[in-house]
Amino acid sequence: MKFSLYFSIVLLTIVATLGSLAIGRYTLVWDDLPRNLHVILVLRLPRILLALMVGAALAASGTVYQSLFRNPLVSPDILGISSGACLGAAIAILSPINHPLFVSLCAFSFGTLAVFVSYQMATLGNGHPVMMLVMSGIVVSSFFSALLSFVKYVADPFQKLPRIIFWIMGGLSDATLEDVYLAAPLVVSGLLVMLALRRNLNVISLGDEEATALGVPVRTMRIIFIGCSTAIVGATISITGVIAWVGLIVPHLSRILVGPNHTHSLPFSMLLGAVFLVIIDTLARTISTQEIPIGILTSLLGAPFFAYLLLWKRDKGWGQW
Amino acid sequence: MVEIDNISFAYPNQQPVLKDLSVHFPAGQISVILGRNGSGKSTLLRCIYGALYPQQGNVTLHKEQLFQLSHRQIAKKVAVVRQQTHYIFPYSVLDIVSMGRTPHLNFFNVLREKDIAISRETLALVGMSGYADKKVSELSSGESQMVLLARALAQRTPILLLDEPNVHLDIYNQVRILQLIARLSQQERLTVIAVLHNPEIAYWFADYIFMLEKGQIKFSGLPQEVMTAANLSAVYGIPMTTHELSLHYLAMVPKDFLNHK
Repeated sequence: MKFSLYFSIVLLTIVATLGSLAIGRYTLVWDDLPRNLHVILVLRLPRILLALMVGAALAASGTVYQSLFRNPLVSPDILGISSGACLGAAIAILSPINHPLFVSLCAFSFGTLAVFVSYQMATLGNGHPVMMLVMSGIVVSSFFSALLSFVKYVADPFQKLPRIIFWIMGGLSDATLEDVYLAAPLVVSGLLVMLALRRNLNVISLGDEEATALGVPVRTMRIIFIGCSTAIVGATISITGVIAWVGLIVPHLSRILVGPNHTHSLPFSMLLGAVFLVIIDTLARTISTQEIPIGILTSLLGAPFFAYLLLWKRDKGWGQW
Repeated sequence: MVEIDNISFAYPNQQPVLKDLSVHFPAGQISVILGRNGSGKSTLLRCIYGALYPQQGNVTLHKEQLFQLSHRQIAKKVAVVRQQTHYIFPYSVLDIVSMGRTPHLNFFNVLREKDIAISRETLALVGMSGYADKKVSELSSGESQMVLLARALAQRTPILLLDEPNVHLDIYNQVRILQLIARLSQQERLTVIAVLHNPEIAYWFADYIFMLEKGQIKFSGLPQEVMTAANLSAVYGIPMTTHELSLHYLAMVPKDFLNHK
């Protein structure tokens, strides 16, 4: 059963990637090989590679956060990581340094700061832990968004502001091979570390005390996992801007398909996230003559899907809270 | 043998919960800790499995000092069954039981054939072989507690700690789980240390009784010796009376209960 699911998702990824290479506003014609190659290798391939990477990164970090925080409702957006990373990137763009690596670094630092503040705030208050984390995530998220608006307000409207706005709405449209080279080492190594240690997530999702009693070094694991997920989200966000919902719904979908055991749910989630984003991005650039920002599409699909899970699906992929 | 020597523990900015407490729990026997809510029973257990470290004193597990052991090493010696865990994700019963193998695995936690075999074996031991692929979210409280016991037993430790393992269970399931533990402790020479609320159950379940009051051991010894009306009244803070039913059964009831109504 699981084997056939893996087989289908890998097959789907290959088909979607090849399909996405072939489809686009420029119709490939048989007799003009150099031009075809240019379109495929320079315009479409970087974008598809980036979509695969971003999808896998968002889905994986969603899965990891949901288990680490024992909360099926969190994702990089809800924990405030996305808005934190945006603010960090905006500040970096505004600063005189303004190098792509510096932008990534700032996005990562502010993303980490956001998740740290959200988590600390949730543990300080005495409320239902699942709800507290969602609430404090909302608080942190809107606070960082307000700061971001302020940064936009003070930014030089001719030089810096368009760059910030362009960057935040970015999407995958101006992906280059340099972007891929820049993000790939970090994202791929982050994903590999998570994959290697994924079985520890099962025990950690039982709670700190249970995990400690079972001999797992919870603190160390938590630091490694939060570090990796925030790093890969920061790295991808600093190229693509915020792509909502992927980190929330893909983990749920993969738990429904392969079960909650992270031995399978994490790798499956990565594959599913990757293929999901490639398909969405292909739609975004082909549905209409003008490109639709990908964040709009993921939200349009994600929100109703999540409503469907909440309202009608009995087997939600989470247990009691 | 679990030896606790002069330990004191206080949560941050609070009165000490355990005060200069010393107690030796005998190997291969069932020890039961009794006491009122807040007397420090659970805190004492948590000091034994390394969830808390006492600010003073020593905990020794089979001649090894607890604070020198890593959590993984402790988990190879001590398994704990706590009150019912809530599962965020609907793992299968076999998933949960095989998590008991964690301390025996490498850093990457890869289960070997052997671990799956031990998990299935343990599941059969608690009479739940048919449940391996069931989701834990679909189990009753009794079944769920049995799964947690199976997980602890799958750790294959010489010491088993129980923190009110029967608290949400009906009398049938209480008797079933405690009987099973009593049988296993005899067969496998397990050292069992249990926190229980019901002194009547403790009377027939325990080999030794330890009565805790305000963070100190007040009375300890064989159930027949220590579970007297006077001791129970002192520890629980209400007048109690006892009626011996037979060698292993003692009825313990609050005195003049109706007069207080």
